[in-house]
Amino acid sequence: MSGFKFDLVKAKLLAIARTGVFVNFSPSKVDDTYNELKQLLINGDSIDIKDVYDLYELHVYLSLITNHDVEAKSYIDRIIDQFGDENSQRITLLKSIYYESQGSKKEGASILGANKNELRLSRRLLTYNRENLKGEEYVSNLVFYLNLQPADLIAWAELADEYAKLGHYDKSIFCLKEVLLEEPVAYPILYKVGLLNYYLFLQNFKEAIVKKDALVELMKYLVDSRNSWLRTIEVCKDHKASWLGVYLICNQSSFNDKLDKLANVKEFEKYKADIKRLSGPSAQKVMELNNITEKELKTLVL
Amino acid sequence: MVPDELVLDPQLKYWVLLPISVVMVVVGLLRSNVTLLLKSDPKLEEFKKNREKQFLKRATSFKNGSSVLTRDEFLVRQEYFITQLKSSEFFANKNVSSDAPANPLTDPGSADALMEMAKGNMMNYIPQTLIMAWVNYFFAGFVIMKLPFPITDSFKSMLQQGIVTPDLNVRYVSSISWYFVNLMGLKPVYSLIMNDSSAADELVNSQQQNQQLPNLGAPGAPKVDKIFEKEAADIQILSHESIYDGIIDRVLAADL
Repeated sequence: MSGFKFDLVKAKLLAIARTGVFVNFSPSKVDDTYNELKQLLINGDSIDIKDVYDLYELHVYLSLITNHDVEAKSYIDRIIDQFGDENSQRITLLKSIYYESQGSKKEGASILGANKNELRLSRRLLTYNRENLKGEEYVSNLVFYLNLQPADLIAWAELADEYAKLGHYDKSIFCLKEVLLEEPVAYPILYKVGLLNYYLFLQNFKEAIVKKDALVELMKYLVDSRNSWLRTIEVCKDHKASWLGVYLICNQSSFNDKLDKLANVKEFEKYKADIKRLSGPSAQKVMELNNITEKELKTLVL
Repeated sequence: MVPDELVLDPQLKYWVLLPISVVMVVVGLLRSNVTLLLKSDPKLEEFKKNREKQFLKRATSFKNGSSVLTRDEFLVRQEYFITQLKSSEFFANKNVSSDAPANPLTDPGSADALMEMAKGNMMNYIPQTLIMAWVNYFFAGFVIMKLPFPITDSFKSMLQQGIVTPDLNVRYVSSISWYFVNLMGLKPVYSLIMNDSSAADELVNSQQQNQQLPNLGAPGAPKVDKIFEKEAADIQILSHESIYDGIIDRVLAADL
């Protein structure tokens, strides 16, 4: 590896280590990253001491994901040799994850301790037993934690997922909006907000509903959903799922028929005009992005 | 009248110039290691303090990024934040009165910070005072070297401290001035020896005593209730502009 390439690979791996983006990698990409990092560490005498331990930490995680447990343990030992075994939340976290991967769940939880000031460990302790807790119980734990750490975006996103699982889509949207307030262009979150608003519409929509007020309420869900998806598209131009969502809303025939029956309602007229404008372009975009014909599109959606 | 050229004993080099330089480097390195030993372990921030900060961060995020919300969501949050910011729910210490400033000497947090500062300052002043006294005691009034290049007269005050010779050529350097030149200019030497430029930066910065006094969080620091009140006032007058207004036009114009 030439010096320039070595520096580039090192910078890339350090960025991966510091952002934690590897948790979203595909299995093949995790494997590639693991091999690349292993190679870098073998030739890594010239790596700055400050960076080496960040890379070791990344190597522990990648080794555990790729089933190289012995290697993970040896790198944890190297980190402990340098920094000692106490007073570090990062090291305790690594050890806890290692124990969990080895099936020693009890030991993994016990080393997390109960110091309220160790915030990273508190969150880990909170999420540790989520498989054993019932939905509501886990949600109340998360709410308790978020009352103590109100700006923890990861916990907000986790709570949103839990609410969505329980069918509380409105609460889930509230949580995701907390993430968006801090990260306004996080388009996967914007997409999720659109999806949850759509679920909310489906949850409340019944064929028997004919009254104007109830229909206005339902329309609001669709408008919020459509707007979130359009915002996703504004940030990420070719977001397939969002275009499909917009197309679905435009072709929500059972709902649109109900609006047609109530003539001269100002809100409905605007809504209908908007979906009329979006109907053609969204269909065209979905066909283009998914490489399908109009006929296939109709069968796909209906 | 002082002649332009002085004859300097070559032994000055070995018995004054080099000893001052070596002592300064060695003491500097020793000092950095002793400072590390004396440094107490960083303490974890109390979770209540963290909660207070995080809530403020959440309120600020709402203030700055409310355009991602719909009108209804905005109103709900606006009311919530105004109520909470005006109450003491998220204060780390709910009993602190804003009118009575805390005594920094009785506050354990401030006492720790004072102790840290005192330790740091001692590690700066004691070695420097000792070396300066040593130079002044043994080498006061020494002219120890002549620079091999010409320089302007404005350097005279820098290079000829401690010797009262207004007419002496500015290229001659006094012992005490050599001490100061070393104090300011040893950074590359530390970088080379410690193999770490940032550590050397730290060392030189602390030696030159440029560090600012830490704010002890007592007198002068803004009180948390005042900050919360200000934030509540800001949120009260916040107007809502939604990013979703006109989004259809924007997307259609951009994409088609």
